[in-house]
Amino acid sequence: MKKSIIPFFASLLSLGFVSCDFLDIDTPGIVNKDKMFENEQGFIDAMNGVYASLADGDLYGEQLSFGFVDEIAQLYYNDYEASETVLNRTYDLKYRDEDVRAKVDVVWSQAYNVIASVNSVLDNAAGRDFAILPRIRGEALAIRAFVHFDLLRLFAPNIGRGDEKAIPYVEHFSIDPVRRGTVREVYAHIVGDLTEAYDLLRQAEPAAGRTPEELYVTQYAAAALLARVSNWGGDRETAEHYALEALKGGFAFIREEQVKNLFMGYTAQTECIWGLHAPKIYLDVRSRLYPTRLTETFNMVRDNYQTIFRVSSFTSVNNDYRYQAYFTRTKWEHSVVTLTKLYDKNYDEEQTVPSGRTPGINLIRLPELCYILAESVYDRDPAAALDYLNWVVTARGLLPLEAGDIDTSEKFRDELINEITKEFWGEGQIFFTNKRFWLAMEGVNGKRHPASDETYILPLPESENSEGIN
Amino acid sequence: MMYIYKGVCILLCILAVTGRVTGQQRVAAVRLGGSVTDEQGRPVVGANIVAYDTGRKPHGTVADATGRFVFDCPAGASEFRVRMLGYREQVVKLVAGKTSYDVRLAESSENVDNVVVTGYVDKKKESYTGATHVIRREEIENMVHTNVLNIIQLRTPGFEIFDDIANGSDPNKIPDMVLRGRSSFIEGDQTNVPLFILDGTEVDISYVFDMPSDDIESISVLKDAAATSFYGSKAANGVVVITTRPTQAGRLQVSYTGNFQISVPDLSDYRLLDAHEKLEYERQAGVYGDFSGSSSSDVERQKQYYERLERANAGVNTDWKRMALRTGFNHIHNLMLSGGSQDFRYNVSGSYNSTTGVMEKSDKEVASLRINLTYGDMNKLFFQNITSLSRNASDDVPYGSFSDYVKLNPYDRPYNADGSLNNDLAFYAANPLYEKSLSSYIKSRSGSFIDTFRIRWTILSSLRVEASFSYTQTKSEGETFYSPLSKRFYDKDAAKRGSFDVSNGTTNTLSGNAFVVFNKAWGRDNANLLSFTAGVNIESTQSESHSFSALGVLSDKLEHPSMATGFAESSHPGGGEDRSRMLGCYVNANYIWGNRYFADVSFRYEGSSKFGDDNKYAPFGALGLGWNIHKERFMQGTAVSLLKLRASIGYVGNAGFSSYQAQLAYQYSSDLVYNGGIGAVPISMVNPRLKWERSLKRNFGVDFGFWNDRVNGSADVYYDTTNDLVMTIAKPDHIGFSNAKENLGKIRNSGVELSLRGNVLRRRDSNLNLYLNMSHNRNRIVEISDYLKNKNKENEENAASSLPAAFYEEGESMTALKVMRSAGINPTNGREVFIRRDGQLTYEYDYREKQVVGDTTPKVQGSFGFSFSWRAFDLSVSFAYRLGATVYNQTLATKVEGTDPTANADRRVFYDRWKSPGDRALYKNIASRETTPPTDRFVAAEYALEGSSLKLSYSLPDSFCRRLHLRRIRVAASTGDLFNISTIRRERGLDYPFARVFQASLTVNL
Repeated sequence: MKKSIIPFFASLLSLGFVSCDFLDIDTPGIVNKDKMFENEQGFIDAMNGVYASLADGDLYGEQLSFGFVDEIAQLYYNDYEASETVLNRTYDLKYRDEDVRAKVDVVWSQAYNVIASVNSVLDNAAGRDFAILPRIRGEALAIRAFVHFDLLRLFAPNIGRGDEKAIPYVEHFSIDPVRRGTVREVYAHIVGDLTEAYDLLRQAEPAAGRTPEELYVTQYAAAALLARVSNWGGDRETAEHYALEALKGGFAFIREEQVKNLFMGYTAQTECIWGLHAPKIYLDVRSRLYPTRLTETFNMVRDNYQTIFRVSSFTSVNNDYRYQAYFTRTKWEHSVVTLTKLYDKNYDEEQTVPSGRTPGINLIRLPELCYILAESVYDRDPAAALDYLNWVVTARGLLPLEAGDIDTSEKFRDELINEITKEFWGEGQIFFTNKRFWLAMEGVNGKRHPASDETYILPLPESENSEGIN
Repeated sequence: MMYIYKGVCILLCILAVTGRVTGQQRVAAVRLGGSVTDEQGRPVVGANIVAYDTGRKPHGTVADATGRFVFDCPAGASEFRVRMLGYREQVVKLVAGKTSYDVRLAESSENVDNVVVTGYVDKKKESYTGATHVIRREEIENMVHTNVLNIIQLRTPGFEIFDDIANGSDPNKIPDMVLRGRSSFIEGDQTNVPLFILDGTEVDISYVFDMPSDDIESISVLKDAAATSFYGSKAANGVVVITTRPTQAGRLQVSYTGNFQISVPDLSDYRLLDAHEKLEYERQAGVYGDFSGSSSSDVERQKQYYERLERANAGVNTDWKRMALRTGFNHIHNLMLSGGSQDFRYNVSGSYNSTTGVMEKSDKEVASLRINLTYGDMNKLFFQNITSLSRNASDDVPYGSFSDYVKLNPYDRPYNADGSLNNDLAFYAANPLYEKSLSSYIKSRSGSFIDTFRIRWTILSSLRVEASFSYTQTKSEGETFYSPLSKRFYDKDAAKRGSFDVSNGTTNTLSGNAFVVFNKAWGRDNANLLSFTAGVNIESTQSESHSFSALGVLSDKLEHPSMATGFAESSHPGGGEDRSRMLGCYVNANYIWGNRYFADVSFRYEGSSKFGDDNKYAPFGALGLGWNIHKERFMQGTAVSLLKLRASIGYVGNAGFSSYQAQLAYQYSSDLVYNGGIGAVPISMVNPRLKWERSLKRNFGVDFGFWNDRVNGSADVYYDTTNDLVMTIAKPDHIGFSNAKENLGKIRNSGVELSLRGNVLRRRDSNLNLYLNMSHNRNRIVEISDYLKNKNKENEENAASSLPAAFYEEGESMTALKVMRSAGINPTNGREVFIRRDGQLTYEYDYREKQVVGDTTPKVQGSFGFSFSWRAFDLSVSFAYRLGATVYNQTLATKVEGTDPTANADRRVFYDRWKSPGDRALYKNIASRETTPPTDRFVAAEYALEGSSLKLSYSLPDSFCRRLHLRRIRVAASTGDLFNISTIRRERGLDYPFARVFQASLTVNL
């Protein structure tokens, strides 16, 4: 009797121990991390997830391009309702208002969510060895730096106040919170990550399937981002160096007439250094910038747009094609100017993409390199700076600027900001530019937003104050 | 009865094993005859007569239709046994030379059951240390009920189904319930619902909700840690074990039960204004101005008033609330066949249940078939296979809720003079009859298949192995159609009106379980027994679902999704797939010393795919002790027939959480398409330190019986603590996710339960049994996370509604009620005066000044009733009661105050509200339309009594039955949910009314 029990138990116990694997399962659509990263495809898919998340409406698909960050740049107004709508409170920079703050909080949480995804890729890339991994690591590091950089520009003071507390620089996928670094510390991390990314991407083997190239972080995109970051950090030489490195990517300006078709919700052809594929962005663009009727969430273009574009100076040989490409006047209850720069009616209705185009968002484009170069060399060589600026200006159909237009640094700055405003309308760069130069902004309805922390530094979410981590 | 039967078998097995056939006279093979009758002298048809020869081979026969039997009793047998379900087994000693035996079987129904069904190994009740409650077949038969959960609630102390004021008696709404208080914070559904086991297989609550009660043999409710060894990780909320009818050898037996129910809407809680009162209320509330203005809008309003007054005077007084209602007719049929030889037996049961709800277009139809086949001898090799198939079709109300009708004004006509719908109701209200007239529908269909196969092999007299294997498949389909003519598409393009939402899902579960049982008895009378069980169980679940939504149905007649013109913009197919696995092994040892002292030790080690890499496995354990005092020598000869003390303590777990919360997993999604590739992102933040949520359960109980168990019952005290509560904790967003799962929080439930039964009258012709159940539970949050504390603040700040928000606070109950105290209505201006925490009076409401005023869980609740039989008549009655709950009277907050004068309201709005200075009114100024924030003016202690079930049945005389060649005919008339008396006057059944049930039933045995 006893004899028959013993083998029975032995088999029970062995069943128990053997079956440890029995509990390690996954389901279609959901994959545990070991299986996810067992081959190259897993890393490619995880990066697709990262890119697609960046293109989400809460980040560059709306809020950090034509949405929130352009709304606080004082480009729009909305008079649909007399009452204080969320949008009106946003224009008025009431960041601490409950509803506006909710929008700010979402940007923060989604941005860090993407950072967590990136960190998961980086953590899992460590210790694995696939041919594509250097490229993947390069892209991931660049994106981590890129997203942190925009958070730094939103939630922290400029580099001039480098010792002030900024944001946490998160480098691992972990449940444990990270201490907030100072502006300078975060800047150093960003530059460090971007430099490493640039080196990795420069040396990486070309990878199949990563076309069109502009939808992924390339070495030129990494260089361009480094130029952008260094320029923000006041490091002129590095900015110039990497801007020139980026130019080696063979980017070229579209000429004059074609500017009208350059954007329309697509990546900007040969001018795009890095963009995101966003096939459904037209839905948000339509509801936010070009709805079928007046709504309380509709960004109407402010009537100073003609002043900004200096329309009165237009002649047959001095005609800014961007002006024609950007705006459409519509007549509803009253005349309204809409920003149609990012909208292609044909695509919305037919869902067909013109050949060679990719529906998406431009994150960094050639003109920015010219502006960075102009800024970098201005103190040393104003003539070269003028050339860089005129490179853009003439490509847009305008007559070149003259040396007299930028003969003082104030004039140069005003000219530069005016150029940037005209170029990047709807692309989320204008607020950051105003902030970098710490300029007061003209608000809607005669309000004036002084250059202050209240204007330029967004409040951190409440969740960051809990648990005594900072 | 199955447990009795099984118990008998186990006892037999134990007795047979020890082979104590001593000193009796041996007789040679001889033909024996005789009869089997019950206590009333009626023949017991189909009784089993069996005797064992020296080789332990059974020889036997079955009593015929007149209860007579003849069989050859083998040589070497000293006794034979007569068994019949529902009767106590009789052992008849052979007397040399006697060949005719008349056996009288006693009915076993009034016995204190001697076996506890755990779903795995049946335990002798005498030595079971856990707290359990068993509901027997006879009790179920004597009750009127709408579903099985109803039965459990009425009979089990500590099992609470929440009174669902909103959904009333909606036939398709599964109620929410707890056993011994809430042990988990509500994060998603069903984290507090007990585990349901049907014939050893875990089933979903919806299956139990729909299953026919005629199939049920017994229901055991296991409440404490003693259930650990079998259901460790899932037993935190208690276990309900349901056993279906067993097979039975003998000639074919057929029984039919038919129940015919009429359900009538119970609107007695509604006290609405009539046409004149309503109009007068509107006038006083200032809807028509002060009748002195002369601007065109003033004149218009006055015209409206007089026009409505004229209608009211002309006798228009529409009872809108009845417009969507009907009398429901339900019929439930069950046909059961059983029989077979000693070796091969069967029980086949088919049921059909058709329910029509009291609101039009709400229906349910359930058909089920169950086949139970057994083969072999319980003492050798035994096989059993139970297959259940069921199909459920239900329709829900697609045209809004009952409340839409209640709020309409009685002076409006539903139809115009020409019979068309009146679409010109006062205050632009939509006529809900319009939506009802459309072809919209909400359908769901589901089917399930359950197969359980068991094998039991007795290897040695003291050793046996059992294994079971089960497969469950559930399929469900849902289709919702909203007609393009529906007002919900009012602002849509014509091409985008009308919608279909279609979904379907399948869940497959495979589970296996094997264990070995070793028994050893020794000592005088085998008073010492060691029983040892060890086993493994394994489970794998996989579920899958698909769904899509389509828009643009161009006609009201096109009732198929293929008629839709397209999908909703930017929508894509939905659905998902989920898998989980579980593996466990357990040991259980039971030791009985001298039939008096016993101990039970269980240990279980279990792993789940749902838990963290570092904590995939968790141990659970329980210890139980007991003392049969009545077996002590000093108790012999006293009136005490049963006195047992028992105590148990142990850990059980709760695995009712979603998969993948503790391991890093990536999710692919069609929202993450990027440049022709699909992307994946991490699902959630991983907490590698996440542990199993476990409850420490302690129970002390006493079972007692006096005068041969004529009065018996049990009392239990428990003290349960849930530790390591798995909770969602807010994290700083910069970790990438706003929250993560952590083990934090602690809840305690403590309470007392009492169950009493008494057979107070036992005469030749009459019999009276009484019963009483009572339970009290006290719930305390011992510890909670900051996340929930913040959530409270959010809940309260956003509480624009007039109902109190849920809040969780350490030291308070999870169901505590927190409102601001009120000093009443100021007679000079009709405004409410609040009392702040510091006692100061104020007109200003401030959520921070709220105080806990009570607990919405009743202090004491339970049920009581009696069953009385006189000759062939049986009468049984049950009542349910709830005492001392603190209730926030929603009707007062929304239908008396905070009302919109354009909608109909409770009569108190007109009679009890403040109207002019000096009025000492209970409720605010009649002209005030502001929402009343939660205040203790609307709080009251509730004492409620419900007439749950009343059943009168009559068994037709035998002579009559025999003439029809039937064994038994029983007819019954009954009623359920007869009345509801409460100290609180409030509307019940807001979205779906309650109903009273009247039932006629017929049972025929062939």
